[in-house]
Amino acid sequence: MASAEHRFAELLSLVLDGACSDAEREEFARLQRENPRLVVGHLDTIFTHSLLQWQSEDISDCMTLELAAKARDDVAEPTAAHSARYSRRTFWAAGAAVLLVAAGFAAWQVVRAAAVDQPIAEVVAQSGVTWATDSTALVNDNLVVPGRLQNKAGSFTLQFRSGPTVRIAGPTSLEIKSAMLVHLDRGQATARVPESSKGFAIKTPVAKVVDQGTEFGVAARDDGKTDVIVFEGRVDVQEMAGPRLQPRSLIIGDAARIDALGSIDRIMEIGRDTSGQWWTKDPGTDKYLIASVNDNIVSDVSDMFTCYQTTYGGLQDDALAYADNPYHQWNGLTAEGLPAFLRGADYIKTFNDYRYRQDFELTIVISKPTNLYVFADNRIPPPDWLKNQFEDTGVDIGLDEGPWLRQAEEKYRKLDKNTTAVGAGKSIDNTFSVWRRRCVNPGPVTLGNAGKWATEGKRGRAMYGIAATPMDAPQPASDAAPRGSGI
Amino acid sequence: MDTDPDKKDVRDRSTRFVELLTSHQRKLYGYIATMLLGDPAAADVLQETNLDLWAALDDYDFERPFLPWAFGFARQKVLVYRRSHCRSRLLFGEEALRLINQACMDYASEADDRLVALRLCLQKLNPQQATLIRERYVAKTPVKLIAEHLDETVQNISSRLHRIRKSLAKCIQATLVAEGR
Repeated sequence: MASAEHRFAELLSLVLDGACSDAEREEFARLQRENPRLVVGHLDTIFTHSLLQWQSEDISDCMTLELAAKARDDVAEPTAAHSARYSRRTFWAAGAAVLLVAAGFAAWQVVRAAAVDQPIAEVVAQSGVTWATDSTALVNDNLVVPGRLQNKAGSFTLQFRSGPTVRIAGPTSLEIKSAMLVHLDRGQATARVPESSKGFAIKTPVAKVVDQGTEFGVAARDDGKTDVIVFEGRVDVQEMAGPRLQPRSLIIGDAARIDALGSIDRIMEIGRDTSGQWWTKDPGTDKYLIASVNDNIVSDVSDMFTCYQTTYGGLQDDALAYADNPYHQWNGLTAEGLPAFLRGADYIKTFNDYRYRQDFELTIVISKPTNLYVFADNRIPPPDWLKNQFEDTGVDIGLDEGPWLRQAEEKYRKLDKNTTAVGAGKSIDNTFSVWRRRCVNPGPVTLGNAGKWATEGKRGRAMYGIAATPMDAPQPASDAAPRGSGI
Repeated sequence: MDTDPDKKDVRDRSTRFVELLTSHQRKLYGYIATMLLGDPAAADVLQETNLDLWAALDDYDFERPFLPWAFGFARQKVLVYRRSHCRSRLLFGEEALRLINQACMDYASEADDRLVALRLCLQKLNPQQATLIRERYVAKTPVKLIAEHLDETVQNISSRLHRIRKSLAKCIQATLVAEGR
């Protein structure tokens, strides 16, 4: 009986911590069926667990104060040298930091060694940042401990010692809760999280975004809504309100906007610059050549969150080709690289998964006179819409596809000799013809499907790419007399 | 000002009901979460319970105590949730559920006092214990990940957490007794 009680307690702890296997769960169920009273002696513990879960925010503050008090006790007699070197504010901040970091995940090894003198993150880069005076998390200019960070302008990058890198852009207010949790109250954060730090989370007033091994962006907007975009891997998004019981997964290429009531909508497109910065676009803007991108995928599919990414001035060798693929890259066919007329063009990352959709249409609204380019896979005949609206420049570029077995099990992936090469003219897997349409007048241009083989059973195909340059930008060298089609 | 006595009565009932509902949220959550063995879905079940309670506003007799009445709704929602999630359904048989239900109502009715006591007890944890609790409940780091970073087994970490929870439960009880609550 005693062993059954002991085993029941062991299994109960695993159940409470969400760490039991199916077999252990079955064993737990069997034990309590055989003796229902086993649970009675543990109800106060279970209830304490419930309170800890419910009040996690409150206990965070409570424990922060407690640790800070311990810090004051421990450093109650600072040396004269310390007193001379540090201002009072710096002294208390540093003193609290010494103990506060014990709560940070990055400090696990330090805790084990009973030494607690490391911050949990560093500011490793910054540009034009103006810190607010209540940025309590900042110690000695670049070290970060749990607390608040506020910048009025500029951008900076946090390198957490547990692995994640978080880039913050624009006016932002956030609270570093621990090495695994950031509360973003306002502004934009982009996180790259290594596999070892899976579970890193960014929480806004309306959603919690939990990394599952990925690169993702979160923006806490001034209108109270939250934008989430996944650049690689997967995140789980839990709305703070709304009827949904379980987190929702967003995968590479997805983007969604969540409001305070828990409703979630697809974000059709975002803009990016060459530094990786991103922003959600306001419809109808005429600041750029490409004013908007819109497809005909029906919006009543509730779990459809695919988002086109337009990188302004971003087309270059090794530029990622698709929003839903982290490997495929555009490249020139030779070491000379992409043709000069394409280098530095604005380009749209499309979805390679849409290459088989025969009903697919993509509408691009052009805001200024533009050379619009489509890169069409040479393995398949050009579709009619392409031949009718565009002209083949006679120039080809390449797609370096990288690993082929990335979806396979680990044991098979190890056998994959294909890699993504760095630089032009290497590892080209397929070639694409560059088609051009000279759009003299602003307005919409509707593109069709990727095309198909005349008979089934032929080789594969890839989705087309899209780029744009100003009308007066350099043209293909073979271009004797460009003709304007007008739209 | 609305002088229609019927409308005023409806408004007064709504206001009083909202006050009751909001002031008992912690107790309701404690009840639901314990019945669900700490399942993270407890917050969602609470939300659904709130909706049911609100829909039953007209049936509520303000002369009766609110909490036992509300627990009845919560219990129904817990049972529905358990039926719809087969993994959870495995956990408890009817007899165990009956025992938990009774004890839960007692614990939950003291939830506010217990929370105050919990905050005092947390301050008594040593740094290692505090670190573990903070990672588990504030940072919500999965136990598997904590174990990996500490180079320990999941069972060891979970066992340590269980001992801390048990200590906190004892401390809470002692605090309540000492303060005569």
